[in-house]
Amino acid sequence: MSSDADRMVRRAPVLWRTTIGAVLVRAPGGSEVTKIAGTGVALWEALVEPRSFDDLCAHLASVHSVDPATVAQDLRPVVDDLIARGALAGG
Amino acid sequence: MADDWLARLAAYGLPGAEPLVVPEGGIGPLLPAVVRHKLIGVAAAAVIEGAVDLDESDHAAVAVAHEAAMRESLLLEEMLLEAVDVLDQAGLDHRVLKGAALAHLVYDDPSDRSFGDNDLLLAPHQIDQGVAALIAAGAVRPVPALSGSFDRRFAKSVTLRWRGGTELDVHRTLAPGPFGLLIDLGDLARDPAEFRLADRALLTLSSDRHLLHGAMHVALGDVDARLGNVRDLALLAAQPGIDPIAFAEAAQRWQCAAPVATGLRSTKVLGHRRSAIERWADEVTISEEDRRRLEVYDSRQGRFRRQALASWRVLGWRDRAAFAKALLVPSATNRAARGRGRGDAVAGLARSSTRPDR
Repeated sequence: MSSDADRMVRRAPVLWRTTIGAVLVRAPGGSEVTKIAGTGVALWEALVEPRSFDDLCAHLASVHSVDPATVAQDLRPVVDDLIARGALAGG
Repeated sequence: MADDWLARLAAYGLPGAEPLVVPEGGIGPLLPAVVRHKLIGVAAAAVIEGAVDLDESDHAAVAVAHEAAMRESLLLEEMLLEAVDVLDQAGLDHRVLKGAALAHLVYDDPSDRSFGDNDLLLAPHQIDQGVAALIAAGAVRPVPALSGSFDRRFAKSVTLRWRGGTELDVHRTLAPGPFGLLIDLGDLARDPAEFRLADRALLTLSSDRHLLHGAMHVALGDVDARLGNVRDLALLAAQPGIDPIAFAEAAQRWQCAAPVATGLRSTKVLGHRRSAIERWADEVTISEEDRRRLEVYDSRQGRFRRQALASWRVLGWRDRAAFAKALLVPSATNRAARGRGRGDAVAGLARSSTRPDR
């Protein structure tokens, strides 16, 4: 069972929009609008509620019928980038 | 043919609307018009929902145009929150108007509604303080007030440029000219609605007031109404919380039934199943007096002058002198910003009174 400290979630103050095949995100204090495409879109949708990284990967692997290890490899840099940009809290 | 397709796009998803098809020649040539009519969000929604099957080139073009519009929307929303913070810190009551509010109030997904600026409503007695607070926070006012009291007594709105050059309109009322002066501004701001932007709750007009505003904007704003604004009317008019009888009474109370009905009649172009409120508009009888008032908004040429004269006629005697003086002898700073000499305003209005132009 993951602890709350492991959990990530969209930060409430973030402004965002869905576009065709992508999500645009503007974190407060950010210098630019960030575009999340590909697997990042599913990540953004899933993190409407707090999830640990492992839970997130398991969820998306199940939904998209993909190996969890592959999902983790794809998502780790995306998650790290969104946390660094202030779009995600936790992790 | 292009106009028909744009109207069909504007009606996408409305009850009874014709199915959307790919136009002959593809969407590409129509894309500038789609963007200008504030329909790029609707086009993107149609693509995402599989309502239209575009070729690779059109699909990419819509995606690029929609992304650009949504980037603008996000930056505008960030700017809106900054402006709201300034007004909150100054203790000033305000309402968010038009696209920034409608995108969240009326559309299932705010990504379906693009907008190009921000609009805020302040009470007349707080307009000067609000504009000053925003300027102190970094906004620029390109055109100074016509006179010291003009903004709070007569102006439709004050246009500011926010830090990145985006437009922020601080409204006193909802329409230019005579109809804007007739609106009951206390009634306008009553019973606000709320919408969420990120983690913030922002106040806006109630849905029926948004519909009154939207209809007046279509009737009295741009000479050629944008179909995205017409779509807004159809969506608002179908909202379950709006009582058609109370709506009609408010329009009458504001002496604005004529422009409201005129605006609502524009939704016929969408070809959808119209609501009770839209059908009410079809039955409104427009008086000769209102017909003449509506005519001052009809064409771009000489519009300001015609509206100024018509506005003077609806003002009380105490306001007429101040209004006339402000227009005929504007402040030096206003003249300088517009490159006008001291006698230019008098000459301009004299030309209008002796040579009606359309």
